[in-house]
Amino acid sequence: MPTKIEKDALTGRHTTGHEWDGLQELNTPLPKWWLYTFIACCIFAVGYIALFPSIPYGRDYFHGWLQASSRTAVDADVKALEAQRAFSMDKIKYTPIAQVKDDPKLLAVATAAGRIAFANNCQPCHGAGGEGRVGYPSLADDTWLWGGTLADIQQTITYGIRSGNDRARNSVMPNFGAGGLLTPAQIEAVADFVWGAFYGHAAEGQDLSKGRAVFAENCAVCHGANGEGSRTVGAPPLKSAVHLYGDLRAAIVAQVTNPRMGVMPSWEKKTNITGLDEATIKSVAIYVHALGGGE
Amino acid sequence: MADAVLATARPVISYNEEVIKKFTIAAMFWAVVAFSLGVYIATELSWPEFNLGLSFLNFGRLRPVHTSAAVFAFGGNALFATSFFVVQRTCRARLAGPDALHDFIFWGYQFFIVMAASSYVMGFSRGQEYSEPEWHITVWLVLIWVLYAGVFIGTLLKRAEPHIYVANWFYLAFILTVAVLVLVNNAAVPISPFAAKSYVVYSGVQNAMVQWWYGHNAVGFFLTAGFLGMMYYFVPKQAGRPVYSYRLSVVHFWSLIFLYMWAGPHHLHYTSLPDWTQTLGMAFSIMLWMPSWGGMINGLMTLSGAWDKLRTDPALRFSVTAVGFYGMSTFEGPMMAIRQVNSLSHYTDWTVGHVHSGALGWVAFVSFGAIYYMVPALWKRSGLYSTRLVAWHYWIATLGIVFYISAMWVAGIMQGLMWRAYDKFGFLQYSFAESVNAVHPYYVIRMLGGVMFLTGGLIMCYNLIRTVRSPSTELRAAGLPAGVVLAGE
Amino acid sequence: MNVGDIVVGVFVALLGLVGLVLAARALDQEIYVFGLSLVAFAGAFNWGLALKVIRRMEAARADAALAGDGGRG
Repeated sequence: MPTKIEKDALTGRHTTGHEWDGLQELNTPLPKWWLYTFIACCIFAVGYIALFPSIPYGRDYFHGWLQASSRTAVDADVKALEAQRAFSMDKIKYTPIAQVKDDPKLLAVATAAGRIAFANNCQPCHGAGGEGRVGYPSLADDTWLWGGTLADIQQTITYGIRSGNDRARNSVMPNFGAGGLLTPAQIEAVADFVWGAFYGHAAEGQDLSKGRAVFAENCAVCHGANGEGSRTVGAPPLKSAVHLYGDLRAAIVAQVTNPRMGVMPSWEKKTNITGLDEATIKSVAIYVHALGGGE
Repeated sequence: MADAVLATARPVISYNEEVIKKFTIAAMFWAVVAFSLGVYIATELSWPEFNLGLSFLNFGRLRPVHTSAAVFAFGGNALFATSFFVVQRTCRARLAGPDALHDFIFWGYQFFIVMAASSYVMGFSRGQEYSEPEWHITVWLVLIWVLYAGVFIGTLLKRAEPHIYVANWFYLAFILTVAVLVLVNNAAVPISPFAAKSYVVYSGVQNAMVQWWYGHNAVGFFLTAGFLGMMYYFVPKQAGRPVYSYRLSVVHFWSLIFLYMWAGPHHLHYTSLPDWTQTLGMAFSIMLWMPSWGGMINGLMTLSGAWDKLRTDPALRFSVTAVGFYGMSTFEGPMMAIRQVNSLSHYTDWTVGHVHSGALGWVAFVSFGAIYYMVPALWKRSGLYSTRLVAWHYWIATLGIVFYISAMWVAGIMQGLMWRAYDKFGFLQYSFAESVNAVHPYYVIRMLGGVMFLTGGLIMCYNLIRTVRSPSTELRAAGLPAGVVLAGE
Repeated sequence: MNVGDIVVGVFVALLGLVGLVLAARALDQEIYVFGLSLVAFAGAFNWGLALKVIRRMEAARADAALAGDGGRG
């Protein structure tokens, strides 16, 4: 194609003289503001490179005139935050938990610390208000598996339940069904009894004696003769308004046949690197205690 | 007899337009798939129950299907279609290689898309963003891509024009760089030639760095350079004006492709990536601002003297609005690459909003503009079935984008501020779950924005189908006596 | 039929063979599905290619016949 430079009538600019499928290009110079802004950005970038760690050479790198380091900066930030918390948190750490609760100033700090630690660590299982859900006990009512005093709660949080920690709360419900301790007929009978006598669904004139006998022989030792449960072994009360694995009769059969046993992690730093320090655990215990069921 | 007349009237070069038609149809098909999946997973984010408890409807599996469908299926097919359209016309040469090869590139690329998507829903993924396909699918893609590059470069080589048009520089940069990116980032060792699982050759932070070198340049060369090529042909065509500045296109082309390469580390601010790498990533991102805007200036200023066409040609409105969104998101990008801004925006929905202002506003809109132009040209119709429907599509989609990105700005900035808020004792003010609750309404608005964008896409499909089904206007020459050549042929 | 059609057809047929081997020796579901899909892809593609070539040859024969009896008449 012959090169033919034309003048664009509208802008007065010349074209470059090329044409592709009817498309042409004007020979407009670079817009000044564009060029100057580009140069300014480059100057900024060069200045930034000079001030901050930037050019690598071999095993080391140019550290920049400011000698900045994000590792140092984050260390300083964390230290500052720890210093801000330290005054109160140290006090909480060294004060017996019951006294923390009686000191309004410490209580305010513990509640703030406990609330956020609970929300970020405990809420996924126990719910935003500690209301629990099937398989995860409620922390906001009077039913406690392992005890609801401040000390009990602190113990549970620190070492966990069946967590593998040496000081964890441990207990095992026997495998009555799969282990062959009870026949399916006996399991149905005991489920009838628990569902009828403790959950309050007994039909008129229903004979629960068979199940009662199975219960007395196998279950009462942990769950209590009257289904009141036992905190020594973490056996949930059966005669209660809330049931850990739900309120269905089928859940009773399932639990007796092949029991579920929940695990709660230990939160002490020693065994759980994402755990909580002692003062924070105390704070969480105080916060949980105040959710509605504390004893 | 009509055939005989046309034989004499036919232009000297016959372009391969069949394959462009196929790519155009595929682009629209995958557009609807990508938009629908986007709406669905946005619904899952608002109400997680919508995964119905099924593994293959899980957000984690559908999300890469959505992103791949949008970027590689819709965007990719649009790039194939327009690059073949543009390269043939601006080189005055038929596509290099046999037609069967072009067909193979088309069907092979669709096969890649379907295989990649089905592997994601079956739970096979490399787990690297925008680079999820396992090794065997990557090998297939590389095969297709090499053939594509061969056809494109071959066509450039046999061109009948003395110079290569600017749109083709951008397409070529896109094709070559994507090949390099995929080869480097997907380097992996399969556990067996007959197993899908592979292990990436880089480890630790180096893997992260290579991944974001790839990720950022996928944005830079797939979603930017390729679509700039599209803009450089279709905007001047639709406007009927010469490109504003040849010099600007040269300077911004070279500065863009040089600077983009180094900006990847800004995706890894405040991580275990060494400070010096983060600094360079940020510095290059700042320098990248004006080279990006060079494309916007060339696009917008080309319209000087033709602004009135925006009133009459809604398809041009798409292209021009796209350039506007391009300018906005290429300002937002360097800003978010500044470490201090990034400390607020990183990991929040602001990033998601930023990506979508680019993907919906720039990539999709410039493709819509090009496809609205191409379909009547390819199927030899005098115009679209309805320009009113194009206008409806334009306004519904634009409103959808505004809903989407403003919801994500609010949600993202709110998340950033909530995550860094401390109370007077030095404890976090908000838990993560509270920040999730707080953004829920904005997630719902985002989903509605997506529904609007999808609606616009469906209107477009309807309009294009009616256009193709309308009677052809090509055979106007049929009534002429034998031997008469049409003027201009 | 031209050289391009033959080369592409043979190449795709070979890819189909690769798919067959992958599916036969697959160690996981993904490669099995991929291999079978590749076979189906190659078969369908070459089927379409053959149809196109046949159609083109028939059209050429019709043109030749037309030219034989006097052309555009």
